Amino acid sequence: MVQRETRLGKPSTWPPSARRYQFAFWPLMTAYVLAVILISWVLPISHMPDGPRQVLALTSVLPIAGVIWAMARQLEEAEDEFQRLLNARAMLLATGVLLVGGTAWGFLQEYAGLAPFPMIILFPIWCGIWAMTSALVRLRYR
Amino acid sequence: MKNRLKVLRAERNWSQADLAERLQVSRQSVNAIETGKYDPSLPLAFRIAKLFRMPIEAIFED
Repeated sequence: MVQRETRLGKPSTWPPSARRYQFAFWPLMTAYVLAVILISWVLPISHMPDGPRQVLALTSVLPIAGVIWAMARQLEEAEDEFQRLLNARAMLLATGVLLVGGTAWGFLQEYAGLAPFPMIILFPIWCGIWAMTSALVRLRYR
Repeated sequence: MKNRLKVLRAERNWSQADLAERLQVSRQSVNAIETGKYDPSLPLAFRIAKLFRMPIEAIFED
């Protein structure tokens, strides 16, 4: 259990919701990295029949779905209601930016010859935007 | 919504971080409530009132 000293001198622990999130996040991200390594460099996936190849290609999606579920649960269970509000705002803003950016890319791809978007990095891109929108929404309340 | 949180905190010589710890919220939350940028939920308002041993309406007003 992670312990930290509080300003009032009493030992305390991380909020339960944050601990639950960490316990879900790290194993899932490890599974994601392992799945990507397996299908990219270890398994001869390009020589496999369509069925097993499709199943293996999708193995890395399951941990991502798990991470999103853990994020949603953390958002719902967070003990600090104000931080919960800021997180929800940052997530919505990030989703909006990604939707607008993705739609713009789609039109540029269709009508202006832009290269196809690498959908495989959609979630990492959302996480990057979320980091920025989190900082942005918190600026107002420093 | 206006509130007397900053005055009540100052009367006790508590910093925002001290109050945040007593309420088990972040310092940012205390700052947002004090400056009127965020109105706390009813359960948090009750926790604040209990901590200062005052009725809610003596701390928060329209």
